[in-house]
Amino acid sequence: MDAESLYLDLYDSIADRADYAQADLPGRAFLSETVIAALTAATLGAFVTGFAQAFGERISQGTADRVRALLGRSPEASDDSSPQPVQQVDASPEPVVEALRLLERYLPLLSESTGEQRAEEERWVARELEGRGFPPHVAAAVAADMVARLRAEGGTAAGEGAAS
Amino acid sequence: MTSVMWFIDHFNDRVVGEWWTRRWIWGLVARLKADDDPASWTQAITELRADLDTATFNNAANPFTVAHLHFALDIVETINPVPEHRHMAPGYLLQTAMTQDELSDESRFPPAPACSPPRGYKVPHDVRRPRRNLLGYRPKAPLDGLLPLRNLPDEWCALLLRRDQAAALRAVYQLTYARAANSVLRCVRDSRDLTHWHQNMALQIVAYAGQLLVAVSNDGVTHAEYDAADPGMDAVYDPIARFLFSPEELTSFRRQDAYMSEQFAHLFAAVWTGQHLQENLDALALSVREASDGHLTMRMGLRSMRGRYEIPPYLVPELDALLKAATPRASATAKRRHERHSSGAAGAEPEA
Repeated sequence: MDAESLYLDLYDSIADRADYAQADLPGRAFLSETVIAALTAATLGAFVTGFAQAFGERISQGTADRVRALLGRSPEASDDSSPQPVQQVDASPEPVVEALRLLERYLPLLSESTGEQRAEEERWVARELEGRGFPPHVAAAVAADMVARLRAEGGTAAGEGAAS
Repeated sequence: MTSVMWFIDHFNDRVVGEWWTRRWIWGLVARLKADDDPASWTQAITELRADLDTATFNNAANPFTVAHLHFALDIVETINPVPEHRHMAPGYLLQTAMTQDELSDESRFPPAPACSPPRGYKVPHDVRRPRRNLLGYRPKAPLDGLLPLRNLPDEWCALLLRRDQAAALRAVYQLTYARAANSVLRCVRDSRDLTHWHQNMALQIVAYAGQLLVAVSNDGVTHAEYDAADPGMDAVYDPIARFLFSPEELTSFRRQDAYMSEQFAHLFAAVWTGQHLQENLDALALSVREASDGHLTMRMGLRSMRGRYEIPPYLVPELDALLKAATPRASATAKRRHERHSSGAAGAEPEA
């Protein structure tokens, strides 16, 4: 799968439930695609932080920092518990697709993760979503869905690597 | 099936289906009395829910009517299999929906009234006003002794609380909210064809009505904790819900209320503008086929439109594949055009 399709897959897993992101806002409005894209970028950023923690020694620091920068996260604010409002995040898909291209070769590592590491990766994404107004059980479901899609992509990439 | 617009039009109509609802609950009580085995009831409830869905499509029972019936099933489903509650037959609880007339004859349900009483209808002489209770208040039930359907959920919830069945009542709330959230996902992800999509929309409207029957917060409108004019817990949350759930759980339910009201708004807007009709879907497919640029944005657009009921889920992969295939062609064309332009510009330079 190419990076664009993977990005759309991640966008897909969040699009149906993106309205939770404004559940706590004083005035709700029609949720634009830009906000959904920003939400996708933010959750992917949270995943990358957890992923880099689990496999830090096998991912070059430069790549990790570059990916985080593309997703609008500074390296020093990697464990920030208060999420940036999605409206202030750069929502254009290109940087996120670029980040996924950089990340693609590391995704096969996901298949090596233990159950505990897997839960931790999902927890990072879920925590990000909960901070943005998602109820815990919905955040957990979306996180599991997103991580499963990334893991499936990692499995495909590993298979292709082995075949070639 | 009945058009989806019909379900929206009759969304607030809580009266029309009253006889139908009572008749159905009467049948449910009779069945509970006849077969009180919890193992067979789990199976029976699944079948009854499926029957109810079919009846919804065929008989056009309005959303709140069906929501009441699902609520009755929730109560049976929650209480019946619990061994410590087995001595309290759920049929007894459901009987509060019945009048004395309806309960008196177990083999026959009174026929539907021919018509509603005309304006200026006077109460017959032999009908007496209900007596005052010990506190001096007259009961809120109308003169004919019927418990209005709109009071039924509150009545059942209060009964469960009086019986100290808070756990069962919690389960009823959770079941209702889970059903509403699942109805959204089923509609926007699992619909197989146009009719199935429309049916799932109708079921989502019904599930939303069911959530409103036991709404935890006073409406789907936002009341943020950090709001300067915070109206306080009392104004935001239903008293029964406040008794049953922790503040974290209440926040979670309130967010679900907000989400479901947004979903209903999307659904309403899509149906009102006819986005769900075949001709509009054909026009959308045509515009996608003819698109020459902006493919990634359009692919994103398809996915967000799916969650706004503007495109059925079964159509998304097909149109997405078209856009995906068109992307390299479009970029190659753009590249050729760019090369032609730059070579033309390079050729033009010496002349200048």
